[in-house]
Amino acid sequence: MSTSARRRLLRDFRRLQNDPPSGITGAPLDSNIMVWQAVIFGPDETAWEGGTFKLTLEFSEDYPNKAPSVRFLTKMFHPNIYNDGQICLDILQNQWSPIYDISAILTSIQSLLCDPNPSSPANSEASRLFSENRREYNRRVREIVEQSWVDES
Amino acid sequence: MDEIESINEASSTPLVSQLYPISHLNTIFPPSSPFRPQISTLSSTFTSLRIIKGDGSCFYRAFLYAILTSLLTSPPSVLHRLTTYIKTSLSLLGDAGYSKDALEMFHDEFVELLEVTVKDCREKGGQEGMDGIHKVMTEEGGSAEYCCWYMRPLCSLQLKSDPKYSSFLPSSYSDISDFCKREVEPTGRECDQLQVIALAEAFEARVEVSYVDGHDKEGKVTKHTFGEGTDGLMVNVMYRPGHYDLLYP
Repeated sequence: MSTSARRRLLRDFRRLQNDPPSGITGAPLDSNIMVWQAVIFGPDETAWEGGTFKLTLEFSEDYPNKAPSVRFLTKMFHPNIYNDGQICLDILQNQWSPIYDISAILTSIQSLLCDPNPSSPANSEASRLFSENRREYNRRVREIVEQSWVDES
Repeated sequence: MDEIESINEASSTPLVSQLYPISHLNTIFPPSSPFRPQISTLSSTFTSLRIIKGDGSCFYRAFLYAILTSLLTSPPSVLHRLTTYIKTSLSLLGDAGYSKDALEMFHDEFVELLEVTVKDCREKGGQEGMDGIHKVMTEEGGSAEYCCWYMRPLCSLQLKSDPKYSSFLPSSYSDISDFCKREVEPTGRECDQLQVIALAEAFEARVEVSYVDGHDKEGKVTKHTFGEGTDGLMVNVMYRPGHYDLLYP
């Protein structure tokens, strides 16, 4: 069933186009439907507001039975995001289920931005500032937001 | 426990084994095994078994295998009832907040399994029909794998459909949705009793579970029955810690 991953990715693409979640865009590369680029916009009225954060998603032929590998291309500062952009999120690891399509994956990552999970730190400094010095944490997030515009150009 | 692990790790193990005489269990559990007294008891009730691959989906797979083979000899109304159940499930899942787009290809595989494969095997009948089911159930990455997976959202849907299930919820889960997200929907998460009950009731099957835990020197085997199975759908499984296999009387 080597085509089932591609069939599902086309379906995911259609859903993302017809019913796009707010603050999220995504599309496969022209040359390869197994690799996607996406952008998550920082949610309004949060420290992340105004940021444009790029991600890449790589799918295997086992999708949707196996989770894609997802990472931020934009430099991030977040308790659950590693320095190399890898994301520590339950549904991308041990709680992966084929019920999640690309729309759901990106929406979950978007909500993770403002709602970090302190029990699985991937960036210890971000994690420490988030719990001990929220003002400094927010300042560092704002820096990342401004940096994301520079990356854009 | 080593015996169970050695079964689970063998990647060359078929998804569902051939039919073995019940004495095959003696080759899995050596005479010194604490499971042996209960195995002897089982041998007086059951004649044969199939070993199910232990990859975290063994109950779903055993259940589906038993249902499909049961359908070969049951009245046409049972196949009709199950086909209707699967066909209506997709919009019910959509109503419950799941993405129909994400689930549709799994649903379509299940409908096709019932409307094409089972129908075809019923027409062939006898051993040829059974072989047809065995073939589809043992194909790695094949359509039956997709159907086994679709049973997870079906199980969630059932658990969310009736508040009675919440009263069995272990306290480590905040609610039934949390339980479904962590224990039912992720691939490879094994069935516990709550999922077994939900599936039995969702498919209106009767599920008999013989528990072999290695703790009874007298060889007493505890048996639990879930679901009614009023139109004859029967599933017989043996449970040993972390694993289910199919039993035949």
